[in-house]
Amino acid sequence: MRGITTPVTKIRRQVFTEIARLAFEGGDYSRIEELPYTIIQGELPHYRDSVFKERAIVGERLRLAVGLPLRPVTQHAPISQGINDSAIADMFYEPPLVNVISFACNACEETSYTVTDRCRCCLAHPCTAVCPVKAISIVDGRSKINKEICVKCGRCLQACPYTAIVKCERPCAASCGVDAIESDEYGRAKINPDKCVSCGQCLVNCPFGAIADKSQIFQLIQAIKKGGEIIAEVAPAFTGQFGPLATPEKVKAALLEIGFSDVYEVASGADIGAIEEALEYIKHVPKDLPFLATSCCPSWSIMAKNLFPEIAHCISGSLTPMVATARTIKEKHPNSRVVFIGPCASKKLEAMRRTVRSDVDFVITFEELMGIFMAKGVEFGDLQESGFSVNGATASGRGYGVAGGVAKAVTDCINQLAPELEVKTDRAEGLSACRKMLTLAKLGKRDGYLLEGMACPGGCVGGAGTMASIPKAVRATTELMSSSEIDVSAKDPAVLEKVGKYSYQ
Amino acid sequence: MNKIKVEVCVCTGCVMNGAISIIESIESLQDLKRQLNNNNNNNDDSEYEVELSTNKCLGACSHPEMFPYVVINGRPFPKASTENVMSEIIAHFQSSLGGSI
Repeated sequence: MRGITTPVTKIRRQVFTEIARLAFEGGDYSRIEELPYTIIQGELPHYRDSVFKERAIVGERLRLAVGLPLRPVTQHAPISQGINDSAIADMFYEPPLVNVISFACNACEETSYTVTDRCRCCLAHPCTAVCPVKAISIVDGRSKINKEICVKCGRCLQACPYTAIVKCERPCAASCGVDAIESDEYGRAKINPDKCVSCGQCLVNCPFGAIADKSQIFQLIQAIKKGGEIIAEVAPAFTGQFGPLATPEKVKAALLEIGFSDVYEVASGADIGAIEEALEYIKHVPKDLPFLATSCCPSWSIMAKNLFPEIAHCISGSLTPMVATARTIKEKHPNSRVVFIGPCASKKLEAMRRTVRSDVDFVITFEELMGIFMAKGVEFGDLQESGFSVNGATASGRGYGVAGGVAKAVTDCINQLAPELEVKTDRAEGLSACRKMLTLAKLGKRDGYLLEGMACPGGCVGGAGTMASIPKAVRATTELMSSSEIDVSAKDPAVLEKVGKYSYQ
Repeated sequence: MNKIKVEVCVCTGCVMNGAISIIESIESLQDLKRQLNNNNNNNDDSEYEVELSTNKCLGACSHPEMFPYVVINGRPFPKASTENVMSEIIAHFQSSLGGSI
């Protein structure tokens, strides 16, 4: 479903646009009550059984987009309840980040194996022979799985010569690499907050659009309206996200037009991080650490710390590109407010960590930003190119957004700084693959390695807040990388100067 | 050579509402063409060409009810979708080739 524009995508984006418009217009924010009627028009339902339900769901999405919690379904409350408290020029957030709108959830069946019409009731029926719990019997000329007994091992599916047996999964649970999706009493999805690492994959994989995360665009626009120095830092995955006319130069021009005073590439912070992780590897592996794992993806590092506490110390302690870039910005512009614009849901939480809160003031996604562009009537076709090379990052840093790019950047830096070392790397994308890789590492099978973990399939370009399809975004990244003057972070004297200067200690 | 000209508006509103998906669906027809030719044992893949252009604005910008906007051989398709754009292109070639690709 990723990379395909569906009605779910359109509603999500329209919500961002309308909230951005509301924020810019200001005045009485109880007008938010009218927005479900702007977004869902007419008297008849468009997607579900009732137009009233469609509007109620949009109402919840609107609340999340201004940072407010969902309303309890059992009590009366206007959509606008609390909106004046959220209309502030600062980060406004109460957990959880990712929410299931319960009455939008289709209560899809949990994982099950089902025999379809393709079953020919063959003589061999190997499905029964491979079932370890005798859950399959032949009923009315067809194999039948007794779901009460079935242990979901999947052997029957593999054995069937007619591909007649299918595995049905809830799309939200299938996309969740940390098994955080549980069920409420009505069989609807419920997110276990202790397990969730806020990668956002469930919210883009739910075909009913029942999951959404909170946004900070409402507060960011308040800050823009208030004035002052607001500086954007754009994640390496930004290129190619806003359509064919939005060259990197024009994205910068568009950001200046909506009120940002300057734009930095997070790739420049990635350059610092790549060298710091390279130095960490050179210094500690294999002497004090069996392996080193990258730290830039917050969902990955939180998952590793939650599920693999015994090897958590092997996750690099270097600054993430978001924080490194923010610190370089704040050094030059101490009174500025820094806005991270990226593909990522979980950076919203990273920015709230105690050690980071003073560095990054707001986090929004590309999709949310596009809503702001839309509300402000920004047309890339009408903008002049502004020149993006002001703080030109290296190809290493610009490659961070694509799976494999971080490992490559750090390895290239190690090769540059300690050519005698031979670095082995392994990488995983998607949290369930990441878990498998860490399981191997825990067993000592990745000793001496540099491990790259990315929570989103494809890397950041596959993040929940992206607009472009992964292949298009990868092509755009490669293009921007080839325009870098320097290929490896560790070859850039300006970056080497900054190493160690902004670290957490 | 059989040519079809497809213009896809890529103003902000059209991009928000799926212009990128439409462009990708048109590009994907190149693979489909090969597949259809193989199915018909037809190895000549030079029979038709889709000329795809993306345009700054085809006039939809100020008309939200028209997003996303596509023009195929001069014929406007407001509120275009991947399915109606692809089927229009395929239908065009099928008719020009007497029903078989």
